[in-house]
Amino acid sequence: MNLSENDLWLLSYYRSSEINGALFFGRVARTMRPSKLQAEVTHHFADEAQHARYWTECINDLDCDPIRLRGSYQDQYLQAAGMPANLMEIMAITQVFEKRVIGQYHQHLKAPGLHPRIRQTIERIMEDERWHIKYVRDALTEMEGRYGAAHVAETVERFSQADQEVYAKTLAEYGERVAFLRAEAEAR
Amino acid sequence: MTVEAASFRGEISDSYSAIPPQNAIPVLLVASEAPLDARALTAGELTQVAALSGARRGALWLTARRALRLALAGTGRPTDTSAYPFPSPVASLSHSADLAVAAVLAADYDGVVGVGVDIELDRVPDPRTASFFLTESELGWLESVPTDEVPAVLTRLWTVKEALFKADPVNAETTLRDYQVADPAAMRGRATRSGEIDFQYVSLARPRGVLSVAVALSQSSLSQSWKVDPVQTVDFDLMASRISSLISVPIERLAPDATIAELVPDSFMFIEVAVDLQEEFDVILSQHDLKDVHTLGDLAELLQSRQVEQANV
Repeated sequence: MNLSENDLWLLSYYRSSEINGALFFGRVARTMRPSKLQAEVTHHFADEAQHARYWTECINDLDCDPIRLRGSYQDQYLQAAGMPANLMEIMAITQVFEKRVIGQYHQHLKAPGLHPRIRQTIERIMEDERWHIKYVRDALTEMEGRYGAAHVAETVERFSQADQEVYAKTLAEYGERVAFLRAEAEAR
Repeated sequence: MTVEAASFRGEISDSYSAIPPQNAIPVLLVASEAPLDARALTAGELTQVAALSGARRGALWLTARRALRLALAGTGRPTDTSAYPFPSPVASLSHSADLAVAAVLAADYDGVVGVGVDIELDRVPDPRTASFFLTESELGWLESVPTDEVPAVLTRLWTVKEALFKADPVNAETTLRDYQVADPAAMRGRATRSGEIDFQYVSLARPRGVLSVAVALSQSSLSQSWKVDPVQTVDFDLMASRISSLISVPIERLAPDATIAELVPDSFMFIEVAVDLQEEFDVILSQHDLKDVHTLGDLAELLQSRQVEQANV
């Protein structure tokens, strides 16, 4: 076994969060009218499913099997922020969430002694994540006309605050499993 | 949408019967080791070959043109190869050793703006040159490749990058490092140039090397105009019918006094219902609006009032 128990848990948590992300965007995609945004959300849905596959393969390549986790970051997130009620709110929560994901993966890349296979998986996923942020940002800008620029900004701010709360809770809750992340946060 | 190099043949046969998978872009590949008969050259081709210096270059050019002619004929296109300047939206050429390969789109596709092919036989890039054609993340991935597999991987990625470069309709100022492959380990997949243009590619193992084909996809093909369904006027039966199909509950159970919490206990499912109805009836609801909605009757009233209000804005 090439992974510590904590590392295996964390990679499995990433995998579980990607699966939940795929399920979420799949459900959103099927409710939307045909549009450029619907095509992008469908693409996003496919990306998240692929990311889950990348994590499964990465964990397997390191001679382990993923741990079956039902919970994910998104669950706690929606609990704190409240359920999005419309497409703009879905895009706003997605923007905040995607930024958190990139930040999280970026910090993980800085972890000392990171296995090259894990590094490769994170870098591969981050290529897609950058596009996710771009298309969501563009969608929110376009929605300003319909929802009002101030309302869009308020909504993003509301979800950002919830995100900070949930992230702090996650670090506290999972303690040593994500110790390297807490060390990073404290060093700032 | 994927690129499908459905056929690879040394000589073209009378029929082209490859059936590409759904949504695939079929590309016909033809290889040739023999030169085109100089007596068969068109005026345009004679001008082009006359501009080449050296017998070796001339022979290679004629071999490549023979492959291209065969591929053009096989796809029903005009066969004067001088009419296809490169980079071309439909054709590409490559040669390695004495073998030339032509790639031609099997049919015209609105979204495809370029085709590229590259073949490498009996040649492996020097690993020290990897940083000249791979991006930082691709180099990072290369570190995880077992040492004995690196030469084959480098050769494959070299052909992929060359094929992407040739497929790019505006490649005058680009370098191979500008092209990012989504999954360097994959024999087929997608790639991008600095987020500006997307590509699909496929690599094929050959007995003495590897060959890759790429197609460039236009941005307009990604952001095409969409046919918009007409907006419906809210009525309870229509709303109930949509909810019934979303939550798989018989419509008979969806009376105005049915409570939403009982029908849709899963909050993700409720988001799906809420967004679907907003899309269908072209209205906007907020978290605040939904707090006061308890029954399907409440929901229908809310949608109706919002539709009227928002239509008057």
